[in-house]
Amino acid sequence: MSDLKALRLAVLGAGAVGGYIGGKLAGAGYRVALVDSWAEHVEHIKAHGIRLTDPLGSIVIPAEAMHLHQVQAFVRDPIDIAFVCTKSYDTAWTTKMIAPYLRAGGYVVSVQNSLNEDEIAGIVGADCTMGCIASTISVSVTGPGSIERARTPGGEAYTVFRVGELHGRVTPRALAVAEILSAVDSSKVTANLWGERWAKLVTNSMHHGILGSAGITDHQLMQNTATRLLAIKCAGEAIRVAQALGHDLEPILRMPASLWCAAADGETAALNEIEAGWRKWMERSKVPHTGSVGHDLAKGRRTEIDYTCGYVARMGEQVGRRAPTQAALAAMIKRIERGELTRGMQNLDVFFKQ
Amino acid sequence: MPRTDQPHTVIIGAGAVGGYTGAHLARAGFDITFVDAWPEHVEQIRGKGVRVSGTQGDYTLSVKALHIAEVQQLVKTPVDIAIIATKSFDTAWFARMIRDYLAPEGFVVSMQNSINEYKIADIVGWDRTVGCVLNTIGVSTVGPGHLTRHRTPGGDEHPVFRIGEVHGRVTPRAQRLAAMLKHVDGSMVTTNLWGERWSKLATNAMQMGILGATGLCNEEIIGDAPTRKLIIGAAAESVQVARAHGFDMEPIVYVGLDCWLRAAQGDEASVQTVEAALFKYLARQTESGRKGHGSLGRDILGGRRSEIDAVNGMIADKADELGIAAPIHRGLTTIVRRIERGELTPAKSNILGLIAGATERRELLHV
Repeated sequence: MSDLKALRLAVLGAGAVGGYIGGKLAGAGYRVALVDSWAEHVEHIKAHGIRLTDPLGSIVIPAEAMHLHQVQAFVRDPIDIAFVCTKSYDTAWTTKMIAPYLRAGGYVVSVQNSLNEDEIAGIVGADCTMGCIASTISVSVTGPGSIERARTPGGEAYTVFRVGELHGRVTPRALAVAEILSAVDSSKVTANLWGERWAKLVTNSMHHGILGSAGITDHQLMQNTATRLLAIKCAGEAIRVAQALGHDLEPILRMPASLWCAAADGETAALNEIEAGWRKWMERSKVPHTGSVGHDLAKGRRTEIDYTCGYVARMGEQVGRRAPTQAALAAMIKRIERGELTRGMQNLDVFFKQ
Repeated sequence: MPRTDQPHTVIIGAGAVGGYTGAHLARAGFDITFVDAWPEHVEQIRGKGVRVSGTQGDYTLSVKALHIAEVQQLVKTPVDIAIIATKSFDTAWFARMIRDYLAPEGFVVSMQNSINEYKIADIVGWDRTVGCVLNTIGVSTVGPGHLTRHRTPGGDEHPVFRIGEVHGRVTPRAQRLAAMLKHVDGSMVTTNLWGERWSKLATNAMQMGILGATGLCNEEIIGDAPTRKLIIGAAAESVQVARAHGFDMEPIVYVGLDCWLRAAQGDEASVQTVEAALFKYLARQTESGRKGHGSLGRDILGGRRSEIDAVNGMIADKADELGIAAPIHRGLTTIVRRIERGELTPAKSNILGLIAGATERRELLHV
């Protein structure tokens, strides 16, 4: 696949994930443009390149960056592959913005949290849509033009990028995307995009609503029996929605979906096993974090709650499998976003009194 | 967040039209927020305020301005009126972006060239879509944070802003918007939005495609007899397409539509009427003494993407829908798109074939 480097690539949203991917691809010699709405970030990359730091060291890579008002330049050099790496709530307009600049046969790959493939497919068509999970990539933006990765690149031990077609077939273009992303970190093609997506969504939605509304960290959530059980309840709700939709879920925190459901139903043995497995999983997380929703609320920004807890609740309604805890948490976060409610443990009382 | 009694009005695309209009509204005390994709422009407005100059005075004032990355803050202050004043090719994504932040009764106004209401309605719904046709406002961007108007105000005689509901009814929200815009220049509620849109589209399309294809200015194309024939031919094609679609099109530069059709067929009296109107129109455009390339010509000369698809291209597409011919609009669209891709450079020679074609067809019609 030597001609992959002739392809025109665009990374939309050059934040933590997009900036890391785009920087690495530029360094590997791909024709990639980093498009971002944060002006300072783009200016910095244009002038100085992008700095990528991980536990192994720090490098600066010259990369092509574009402001949004400059995407019209793609009219002269249309896009073969567009990687969407924005917040979920920016998916639809970003896709609409880029759609006119796709080459015939070009396609869009969502490298985001939550499930945005449906939204993208609604705009560019299902045949032009693919998904890619970036599993435990652990990257963050530390300043304009600077991306930091907390984890050592996974290499062969752990596959970071899981590229999938909506229909699950292993196609040449899916292999091509995996090949391209192998310049960033380990990658593979998955035949179960939806099962991967939902497993990640279960993990996110069991954390985000609680961390955000209570204003606590994942360590605090884990240590408090009441919040821990509430999180397991959320996981159970999300898993049952996914199963009602017919998805074959990948393991959640390395434990099977069936075990989570049993624990959520109050089966003692299952609950013990889940709590032990969860503790083991948390051992890898040395630094407490508030989750992306908590982080955004602390900064007064809009959160992705509509795409985690809110998404689970909406899909549950559609399929007749209600997820009332997820729905209530999503509503609470939206009130905090609007400034009608402040974060704090008292917000969770409504769940504990039942 | 306390809400003022004024509608929270967000101007999406604070360029020549949006920035100039928004600045005047803010000056009149309205609650205005600018959103723009050009970072330097937003920074300048924040640091030093927005400067407005030209025929309605020179002043600088402070207006809220957001980068695209900050639009998510609007979750706290929902939008009552979103005025889209971007290039036509940026309509759909901006409409999708702002939809999330509309208040329950909020609506979106297209204050653009071409006809973009259907794209906006696809996204926010027809009931939340309002049109506003600009009739010769004559504004441009001087540099970051600075907008100027080179045309004298039209006042109530020649209302610049023509606000219309898609169904043509005169609604309270259209009247309120018209009252707001009176603080900028003359405004009215039209019951014939589509007729106004097509008239404006035809006016733009008879010049813009040629300006882009040749790189010439208005004086040079209207002043040249063969090119003038092409202009008249383009206008006649627009009339035929609009009528075939059943639109009740308003006159083009104050000349009735049948007169344009007769002029295109070579009727001498009609040619004289139309040419007199074109020269009068040209005189108004050049009253400030600047060379007029039109927004499309400026974009082409500046190496940017142009609105050709939404102007000449739209008429050609509408003709295709009904299987009628619009060779001038199709031809101009093809030429300008090739220039955009760097396959051609703007030159008079690009349109010689179209001029010959227009003359030939006219002779055929005479036989």
